[in-house]
Amino acid sequence: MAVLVVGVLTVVVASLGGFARTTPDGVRVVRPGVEVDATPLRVRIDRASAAYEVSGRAADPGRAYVVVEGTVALEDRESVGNGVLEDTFGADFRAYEFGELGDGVPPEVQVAGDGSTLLGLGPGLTYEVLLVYEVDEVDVPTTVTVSLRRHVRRASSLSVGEIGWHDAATFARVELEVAPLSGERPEELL
Amino acid sequence: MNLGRRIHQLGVGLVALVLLAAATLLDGWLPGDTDDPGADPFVRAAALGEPVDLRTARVQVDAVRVSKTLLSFGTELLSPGVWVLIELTTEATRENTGVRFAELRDDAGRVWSLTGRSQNVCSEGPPGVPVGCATYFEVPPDALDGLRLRLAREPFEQRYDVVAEVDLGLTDRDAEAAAGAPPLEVPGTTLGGG
Repeated sequence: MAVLVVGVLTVVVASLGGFARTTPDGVRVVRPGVEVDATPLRVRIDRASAAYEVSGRAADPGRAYVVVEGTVALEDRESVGNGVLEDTFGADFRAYEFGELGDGVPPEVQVAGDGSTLLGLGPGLTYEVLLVYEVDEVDVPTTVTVSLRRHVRRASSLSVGEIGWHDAATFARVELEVAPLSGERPEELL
Repeated sequence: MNLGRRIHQLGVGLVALVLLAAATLLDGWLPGDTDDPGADPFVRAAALGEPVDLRTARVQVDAVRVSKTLLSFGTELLSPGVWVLIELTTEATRENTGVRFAELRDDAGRVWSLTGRSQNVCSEGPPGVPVGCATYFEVPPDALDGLRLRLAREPFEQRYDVVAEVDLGLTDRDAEAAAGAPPLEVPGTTLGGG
């Protein structure tokens, strides 16, 4: 009887991800290429690289881009805006936002196929995306850790009657090697 | 513990479970804290080419086209789904008014708002002057059959207001045809009709 109970508990815990590797703060570590539920999104982080140019746009002199490739889809029945999309991803390095270098800068989410900026998404669509961060060229990291956050659907604290996605909280991390910059900055970008 | 006392306890437990189930069922029927059915918009259904009165403006959906690619400011936008481009004519009746709210709904209850790469390029027009404009969305192919467009004047608040709901007349065949359709070009806004 005891063996049966242990066996059932093992199967139940394993099926719910209870044996997944975690960090001391309880956050799961997810391998690159594995799709995860980042409510209300479903995301997959594949690889990272450094580049002087992304989607035809060149970084300013002295700067470069860190580009994280992956996919994102919406699991909910109603479109979500840019706030939810950006808040889903966090990075462990300093990047530029509006010309200022800072921590916790959200990425610019681009559609990989055409380089357009994705400011939210609708249900039923899966996008190949580039998470683009602008950094100082001398500080391009060799590894990055991308944090993934889940949101909670609840009533807004500010707008009466408005229901939305709030309280983004980190639940998983993906650790990636960053493919280095390819040699020197191309002459046409100088 | 004698039999009679045990039966009594079982009976109390059973009544408690029944009351809990009934309360749960009733809670599901009652309006939520944020429900306000009295403020629901007045939805007016229409077909392609049929004008709809939005109280201080009229709107009519003139044409719908689909494709995998949309041209925006000279850039080709490739969709993982299908682009739906809808051409409208709006006309204010009393004061400068525009159709600034648009969303798509399908039969599965999914809603596509003006987020992401979807846009409404309709602007306000003076009363009595028809304005030709467009709005476009990207949706998955399985949404096309039965897809409906909702239009209203105010972008953020439709409570108590009139909302036009137009059946776009699309089917699964349109979804198949979108793969080979030429890129959609968003038409410029026109004033005065014709």
